[in-house]
Amino acid sequence: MAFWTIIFSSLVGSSFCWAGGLSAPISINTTAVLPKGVRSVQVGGITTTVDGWFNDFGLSTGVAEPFNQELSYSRLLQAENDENLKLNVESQLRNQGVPLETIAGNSYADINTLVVATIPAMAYGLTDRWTVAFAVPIVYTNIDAETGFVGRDQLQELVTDFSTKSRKQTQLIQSKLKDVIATELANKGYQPLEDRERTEVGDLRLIAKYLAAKELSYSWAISNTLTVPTGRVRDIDFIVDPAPGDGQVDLSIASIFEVPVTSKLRLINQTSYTIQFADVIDTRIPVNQIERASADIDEGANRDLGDIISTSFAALYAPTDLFNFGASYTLGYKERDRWRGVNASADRYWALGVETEQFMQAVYLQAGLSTVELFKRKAFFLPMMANLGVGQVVDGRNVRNDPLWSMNMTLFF
Amino acid sequence: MKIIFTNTILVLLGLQFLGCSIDVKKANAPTDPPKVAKSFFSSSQIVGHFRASAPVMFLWPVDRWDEAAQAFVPLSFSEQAEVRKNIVKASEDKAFYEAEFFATEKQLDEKYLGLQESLKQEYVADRCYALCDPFELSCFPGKPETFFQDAWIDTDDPEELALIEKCIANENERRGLEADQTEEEEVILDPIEAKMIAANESLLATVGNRNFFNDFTTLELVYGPVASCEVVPNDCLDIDPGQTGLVVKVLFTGGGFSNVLNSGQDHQISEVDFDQENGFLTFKVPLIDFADENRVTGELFFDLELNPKGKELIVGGDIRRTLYATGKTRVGRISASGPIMPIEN
Repeated sequence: MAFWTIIFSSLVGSSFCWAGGLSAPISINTTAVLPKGVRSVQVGGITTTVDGWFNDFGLSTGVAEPFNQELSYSRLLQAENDENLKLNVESQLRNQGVPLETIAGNSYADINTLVVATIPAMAYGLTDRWTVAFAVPIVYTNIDAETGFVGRDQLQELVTDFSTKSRKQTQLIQSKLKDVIATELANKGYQPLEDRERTEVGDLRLIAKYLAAKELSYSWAISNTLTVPTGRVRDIDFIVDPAPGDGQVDLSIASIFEVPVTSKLRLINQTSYTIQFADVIDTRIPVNQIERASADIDEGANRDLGDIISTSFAALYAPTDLFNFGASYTLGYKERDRWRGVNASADRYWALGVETEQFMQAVYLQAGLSTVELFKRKAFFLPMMANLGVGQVVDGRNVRNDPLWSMNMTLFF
Repeated sequence: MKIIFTNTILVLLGLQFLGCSIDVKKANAPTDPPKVAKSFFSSSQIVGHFRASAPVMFLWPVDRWDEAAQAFVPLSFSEQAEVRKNIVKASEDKAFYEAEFFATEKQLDEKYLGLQESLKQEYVADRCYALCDPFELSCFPGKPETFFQDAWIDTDDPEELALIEKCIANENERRGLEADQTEEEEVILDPIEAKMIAANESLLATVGNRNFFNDFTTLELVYGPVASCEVVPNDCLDIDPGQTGLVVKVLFTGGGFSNVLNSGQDHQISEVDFDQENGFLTFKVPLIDFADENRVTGELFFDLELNPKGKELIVGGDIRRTLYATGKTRVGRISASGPIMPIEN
């Protein structure tokens, strides 16, 4: 009765997609389906921090790295929207003979995010080969953010000199330089980057899994997952907003091939392709590739998030009927996002897709507990399963690399 | 067995939500922004009556005359910044040379005045005034403050002759000092004055006549105990008589405004706000076309900063002019200075 060993991932997928991108795996998917008429209720839990990522060059950096910049006077002035103040400062700099490209200081940011997703799911065995399921994640996010600015000595000298000419304007400049990131965000109409905590519903997933072949030496299943955008999408008024939804429909097709090597060891390959359908959505239009924060908004930009392909190789070992252990290696690739709109030049829309092409190599380890076999032998009153796992991206580009802890429990009835 | 597993289920269910109880790591970003020395402004320094005639007030140029097009063409941001830089530079040069001129002039005056005074005292001590020719109309033998004389008494007395000679030498020496002072002023002061004039001309030329507010003639501030509750700012209408208040008056060619109530057309200054901690004064006046039935054509917002220096007050800041006809706003600068006088009761 191997098909009883349906696991959490069969319902919610084997990776935790974060707003349409790649992420570390959270389970090992098998070919198992529910027997006809059997139902299951599951609750999954995922906990991760969003502190670090592999950047476009494959280097591990902090997620706040784009905020850590050397800022020239020109760059500071560019971010200011008070025209009179800009002209006053620039004329003073010219008067002092200070080139605008001189570095005025460095901006810094530190953003730590905790994400906890609780994923209730229900599944039903339509036939002995077809199982359907749905899952709705409830996502809790907690952001702790701090920003700062360290000015160079020359800037301090200029401010001191300027204060002898106009105390009022210098106080204004000082207030703006106190936190240049906050100033720039405010100037561009963003909400302040500050601590935030929220719990919200994510995208609904509808899953159908079909056991195409079941032989002694192998089994093969195909599953389709339709992701419906029920979750909140990213608010364009926030520069950092870990939203639980990406606002568009996804269709994923996965092939799961399983080979029982021995009665205790199974090898599994899963290959999946996810189509992220194009849609129309509000967006900020970056000034350029470097300056992503922008005051310009397109309230109806055409977006086509890149499709995702991934393959994983897993081994599941069950030394006893009660316990099992598993490990997997996943290779994933996501195409670059494409954007189109009429509110700015094409290159600015193109900049929206910069650093959205993803590549990932990840590993996953799990330990599980199952009473299914005990139940079948009438040795236990309740068929249930529980798994604890950890996934980690070990290499990649434009993908988060914090460990992703997952836990799930399934009850069959 | 059932109890154990039921509890296990509950624990596992509970664990699903365990993550929510984890504290997110506290973010920490370095910060050391530039600092401004704390303002040492004290409103007690400006208690008194300040009146500045003909303050310098202009709008930053936003266009230039194009000879070829025979029209004004808008200045780009960079050009506006360059023009402002030139104005700032000319203003700084003008202020620098003015200060240098007056300081040098004072220095020369003090230098020569001392020598002149010493010689005059000697002249008086020698009673030179008593040796003038009584037949000369300008001779006042009894007037010690006569320091130059046209003619001397006719005498054979050797003592008197020696004294006359000494008096004439004294006069010649003082005349020589005057000549020296004039010469020194020409050598030292004239070049400074020329630079001062050049800087002023440069300022005028860069700003351009059309950007000056020539019809703004006087800025007057009275800061002190208000006799009665008749002043608009700082909710004066609700305060006790005698409390410190502020009266702002501005005078344009053709009309004057103030925030003092019950004085005819004068109470037209609005939105007066005085930041007593920093010495920042803001207020608004209507722009009135006095030649056209006092038609209100726009408004002028003053954003001033008061800088007391001894018994002087230097007022500087931004102005913002909005014309109702076009809805456009232009910004500019104002600067004025003058003594702080006691308040007349």
